[in-house]
Amino acid sequence: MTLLTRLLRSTAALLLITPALHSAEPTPAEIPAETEQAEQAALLMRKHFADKLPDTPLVNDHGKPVRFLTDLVKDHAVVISFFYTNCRGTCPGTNALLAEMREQLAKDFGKSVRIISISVEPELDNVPAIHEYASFFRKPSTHPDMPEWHFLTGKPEDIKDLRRKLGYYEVDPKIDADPTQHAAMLILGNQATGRWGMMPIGIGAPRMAGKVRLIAGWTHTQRYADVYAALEKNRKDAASAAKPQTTASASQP
Amino acid sequence: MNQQNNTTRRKVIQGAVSTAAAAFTTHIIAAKGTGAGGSTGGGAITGDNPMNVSAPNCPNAIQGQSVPRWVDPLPLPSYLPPMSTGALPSQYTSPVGNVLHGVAPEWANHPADWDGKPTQYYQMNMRPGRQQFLPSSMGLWTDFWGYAGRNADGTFRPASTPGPMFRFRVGQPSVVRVANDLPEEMSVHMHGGHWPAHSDGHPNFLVLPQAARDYYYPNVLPRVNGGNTGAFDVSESTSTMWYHDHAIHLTAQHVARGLSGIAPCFDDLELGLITSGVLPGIRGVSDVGPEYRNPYDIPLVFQDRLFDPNGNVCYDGNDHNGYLGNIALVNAKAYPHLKVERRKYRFRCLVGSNSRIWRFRLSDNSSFLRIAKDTWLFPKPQQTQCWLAGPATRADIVIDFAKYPVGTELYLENILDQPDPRGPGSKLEDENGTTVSGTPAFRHRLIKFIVGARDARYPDATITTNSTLRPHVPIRDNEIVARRHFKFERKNGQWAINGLFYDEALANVTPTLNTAEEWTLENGSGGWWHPIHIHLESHQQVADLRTGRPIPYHDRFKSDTTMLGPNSQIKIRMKFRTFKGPFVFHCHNVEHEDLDMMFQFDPRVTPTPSPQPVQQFFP
Repeated sequence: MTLLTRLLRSTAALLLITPALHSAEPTPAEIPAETEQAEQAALLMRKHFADKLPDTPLVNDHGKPVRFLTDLVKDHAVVISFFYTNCRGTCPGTNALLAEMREQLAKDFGKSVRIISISVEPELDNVPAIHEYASFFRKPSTHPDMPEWHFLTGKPEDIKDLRRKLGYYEVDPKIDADPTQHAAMLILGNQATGRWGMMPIGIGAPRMAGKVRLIAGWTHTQRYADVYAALEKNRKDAASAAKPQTTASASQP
Repeated sequence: MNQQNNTTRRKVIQGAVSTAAAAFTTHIIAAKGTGAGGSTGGGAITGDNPMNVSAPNCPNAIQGQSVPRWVDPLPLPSYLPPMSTGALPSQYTSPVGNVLHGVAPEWANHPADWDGKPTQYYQMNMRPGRQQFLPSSMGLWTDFWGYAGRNADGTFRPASTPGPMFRFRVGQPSVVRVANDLPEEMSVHMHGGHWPAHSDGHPNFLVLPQAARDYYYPNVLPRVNGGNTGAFDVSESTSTMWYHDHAIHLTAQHVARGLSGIAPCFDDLELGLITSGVLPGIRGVSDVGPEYRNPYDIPLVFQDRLFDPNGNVCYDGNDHNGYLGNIALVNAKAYPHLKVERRKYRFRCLVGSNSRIWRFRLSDNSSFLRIAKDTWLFPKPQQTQCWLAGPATRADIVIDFAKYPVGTELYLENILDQPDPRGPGSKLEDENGTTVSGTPAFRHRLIKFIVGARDARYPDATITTNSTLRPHVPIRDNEIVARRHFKFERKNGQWAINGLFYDEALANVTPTLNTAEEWTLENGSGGWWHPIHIHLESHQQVADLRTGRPIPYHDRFKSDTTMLGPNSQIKIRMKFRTFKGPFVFHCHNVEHEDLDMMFQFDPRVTPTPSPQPVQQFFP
């Protein structure tokens, strides 16, 4: 998605949500407008926190060498999963979920978000193996803005180091060596805002989408759509509770 | 613990670290030779061990032992007076509640006796700031996120960390309008208080960027018999509260960036102890609000950080095991000094670290009085040589400097080595005692006290181990209406309770309002330590099921945070009074809380089976 389409999208979202907000928004004097100070704060966050990700060399399922930071993560929001092709437990479910999420991500974020799936058993998962695996889950789509989905393998020590630096590892080396320990979580990140997080699979599609929006969202309204929806619901509930309860009193004997 | 045990323990830890190093090419931040940056005396720091940590994503961190010691005076958080009392401040441009996130429904609908004193109104904004965390002689400045208090004339103070110091009064309501000038969502948890759910700093009850929330702090005690009528339970009066960010999934990053502050609270009983000269203070000054100015009552906030060579805090937002720093800060200043008079001082000691567990003692190993845990005074002071404190734990202590000659230099030191995020590597019961024999194998000095002459105008405090402080009301067997068991464990690379991750829509537990329950808090396997914090009101530790040992004096009365060592099973009792939920309880190793070792409890008017959807939601 180009910057222009991203802007258009966020403006459209703003128009949809803004009228509902105005009634309870504090007056401008109470809440300062987005300022240089806020930009400085954002920059601070980006500069000093979570910006130490490695540019790990990886190979995609077409055999092309790629760099983790330069080619995959830079200027994008990402959803990262780990898998291994022999995984019979969690992985197929996770991948089915990612395939479903991809359709939704296409609508919300288009190509500004990427799905990155990395093998945790690179000793066994060579390029043909992950290509066959990828073809099973990465269905072609008619959506023009479908997010890219990369399946990757690489050198075991590089992937271990990457996993360590993404925070997806066990302190106990015995537990860490078990690949089944690394297949039930997704890592979310946005290198532009410096914001990263993790979420378990199995918490339901709407909650997962909400967590993705918080991190992958490029605008205030994208990030906080769920908060605004809940505030609006509370407002409507309060308004209807304040109305005279004519129907209730009529039904009383 | 004797030295031999301690040495064995250190070997075990170092073994664990070197295993991790082999597996992940970690970089151990350790002292290299003597303090290159110059210590007092210019060479090695005598009797001081480095706080070694593993920090692969901060390879160029400033070496802890190169940081000069005792250069700057201890900074004190500045007291924030209310903007107005009784009437809305003219600087508020909208009435209470007319901000995006509104105000608690209890603000408009509460018993008349909550308004015994006129309401105090405050405002603070969350903003970036810059302070010298490292000694000024290093010439480095640290950017942080902090809280900027608003003055009565409408001007803002610079953002600070620790944030501005509130001083609340039991029985006097307060409203703090909190506005967010930072780019991420926030939630301010006033830790240790008894608050409406809307005002508690629940992780999903947010302050969005460019928006505000009115936090209503009624400063009301729960009633002896629960409910909204009858006598207040003065055993629940709060003393040392603190506040910190609690936004869902962001708590650890935000606390590490500086979003925390301290908020003492006073009631008639505690003010009376100052007036009668039992607790340190100046009669006629320290017992008079709203300032309660007291030069002999000093907050000490202990934190640990890693710094990059430019002086900025190095925090790895992708490491979820727990943040450990190699440099200790007291009130956001590395290794400060404090000039004290030859008399008794009260120190409100708060561990504000993300994950580090500390054990404090005086460098001459002398005894002092501990008078409170978390936010509640003990019935009588405890004489002790040390205390164990994990994240969020407070210890109010009284040190008597009168026994030292003028010119004495004395240190408060950490004697618990923790290079591993799992914990100190020892057992809870071995660290949670009150005596220190021999020279500990690990000593890391944190702050230097320099003893000077006493100001003769102000009499010294009279507190002894026999002084009566706050009455304790134990929760009796026949009050317990439900028993529950919670197991805190690692699962699939995150953190879980009873196998479940935090869900903001789900009330995992629905106690009945105005009843008491007994919970067993169990730590699962893996050698991790978990400090468990429960919101709403105090809980009482009643049994240590793993060791069968009696609960130590300092943990026996009221806690808001209970430390679980490896495989600990601690039985606690708790009441659920005054406010409908939802509230949360969670591990206060804030990295664990963020991913997702947190449950909701949601007290209901009528008995309800758990779990349920939450009954109120105030985003």
